[in-house]
Amino acid sequence: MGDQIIQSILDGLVSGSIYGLMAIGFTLVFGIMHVINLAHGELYMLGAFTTFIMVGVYQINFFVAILAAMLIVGGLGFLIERYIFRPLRNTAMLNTLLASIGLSIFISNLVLKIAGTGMRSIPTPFSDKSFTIIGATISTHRLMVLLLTALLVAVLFWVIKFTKFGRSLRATSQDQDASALMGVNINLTYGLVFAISAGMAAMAGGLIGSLYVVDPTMGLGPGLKAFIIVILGGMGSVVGAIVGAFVMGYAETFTSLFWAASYQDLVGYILLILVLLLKPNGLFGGAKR
Amino acid sequence: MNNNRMKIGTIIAVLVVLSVLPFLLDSYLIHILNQIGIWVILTASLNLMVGYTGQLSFAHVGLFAVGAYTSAILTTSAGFSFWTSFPIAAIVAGVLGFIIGLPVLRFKTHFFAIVTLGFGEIIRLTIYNWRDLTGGPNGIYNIPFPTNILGLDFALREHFYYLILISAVLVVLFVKLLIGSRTGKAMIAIRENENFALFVGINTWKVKIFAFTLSAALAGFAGSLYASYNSYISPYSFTVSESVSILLMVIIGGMGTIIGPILGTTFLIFLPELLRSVSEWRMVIYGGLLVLTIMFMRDGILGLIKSFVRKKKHHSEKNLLSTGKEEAAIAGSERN
Repeated sequence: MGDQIIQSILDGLVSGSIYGLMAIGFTLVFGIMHVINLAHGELYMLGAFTTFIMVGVYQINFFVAILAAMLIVGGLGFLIERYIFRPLRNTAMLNTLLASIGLSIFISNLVLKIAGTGMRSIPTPFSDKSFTIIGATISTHRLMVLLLTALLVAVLFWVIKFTKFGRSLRATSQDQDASALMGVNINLTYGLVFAISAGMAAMAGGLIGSLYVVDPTMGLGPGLKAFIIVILGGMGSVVGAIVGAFVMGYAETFTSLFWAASYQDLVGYILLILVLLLKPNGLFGGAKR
Repeated sequence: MNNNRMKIGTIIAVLVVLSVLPFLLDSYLIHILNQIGIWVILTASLNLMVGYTGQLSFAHVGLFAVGAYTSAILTTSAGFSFWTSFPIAAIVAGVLGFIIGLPVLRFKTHFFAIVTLGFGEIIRLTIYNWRDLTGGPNGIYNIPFPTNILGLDFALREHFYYLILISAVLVVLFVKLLIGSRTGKAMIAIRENENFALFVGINTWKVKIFAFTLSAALAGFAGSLYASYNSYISPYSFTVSESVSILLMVIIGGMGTIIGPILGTTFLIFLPELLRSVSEWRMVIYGGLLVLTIMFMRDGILGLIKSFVRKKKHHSEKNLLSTGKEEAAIAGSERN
């Protein structure tokens, strides 16, 4: 049992970091654009498929493929913001929510029609070698996933804190009109935020697709979970998203360890309802929402 | 007055046509009409929340499932007749709606949407995992048809049609009467501005929990009909996709109107049947339509028809003077 617990701690670390990639993108879009993008999971699925096509079909290097998938899906995100969310920007928030649900159903079913339900997995360049840490094993592959995630999050923090673009991001999230008056190009900022969010989801998809399988419906669960994690951590808070992601990752791994794997998906919703009842602003949320 | 008489005349004519349809159409078309009837009840119930009270609920497919499973379990394992389990299904769904409503109705807009989505999924996953009671992923088979009454044999689609038709008409009529009542007006006030509704003395909490419970009971009612009509149910019929479908039916028809959801339901169920070659693309089309409706046609099909009729009227009455009062009346009739 002791070994299993340590193993679960490592597994939770991996799933937590993937959830983190998803949730940070989600919370950025919410915090800056006030858009709830329920199609986030579909961008993750598209990332996995793009990586799969490049690595599995055209035998492109795995890392290059992930980077390319981020750029392609990021570009798609930019277009989605431009043509769907921008026209809805100053209308009721529920409109963007509904449009994003429609988009999510559209994308996942379109891919399902084109690609079918077959199980696919992204071939990876990593050896089968694994490390043993106090009785639990972690493969090179999973270690790589952890390192890549940590690297990306670090870069993102640096961009937000120390670059001019990051400053315009923070300014826009505080006051759209005032930052527009100060010369921030709001439309470009929004487009780029959406592109970054989409790119991060694509990376999460590519990494998960290499660990497990790629299929058209894979985005639904993680997309909703990203939303739950963001509520858990506090809407719009990046740190909250990271903490929430690990809470979610561990809640799920320990549920499947102590209870049953089929109950794993229930945990997220129960957590969500508990948090909303006990601490509606989330763990790291501000006083108002 | 004349207008009103015309309205009643049209409704009676439509009802007469609907009641003779089984003699005119083939069994397949009747099957489609039956499905439309069941979904009309469900969308009427959802419209009560989304269209009139202004709360975007994703829990309705879950409550629909609760009604369907209650009715299915009572008629198969417990040996009840359909006629006793039919109201029980509605009551169980209504009670569950009340229990869910207590915490959920504290939230507004997108929080309400995600929490109801959460409850919908919890219901579905519970059904999926509670194998002893619900058959888990295998679902429940051989749900009996209602026993014969008044010489109607409900194993026949043409006869079941009348049960569905009467239920749908009664539910729609009930919603119409409710909206005309004080409570209905309070619901609309909450949709327009909840704080203001509170300010003018409406007990918004009470009205919202009443609307949610009632709407849950109606969804359970539809679920019971669905289970005994199809005689087979499984958790796969109650997914998020279905939530989005019924929401689209309400929105594309014109939410917050009586006719809108009926139009939307009919349109969206007929559409894949008409375009037979693309019927496998149903969900792709639904998803795309939802985006397009939100972007370009927020008042739905009914709004489109209304603005078309208004333009035509406006054209012919160009030379007549119109007072501001009339304009206001037209603008006010946009919804409800």
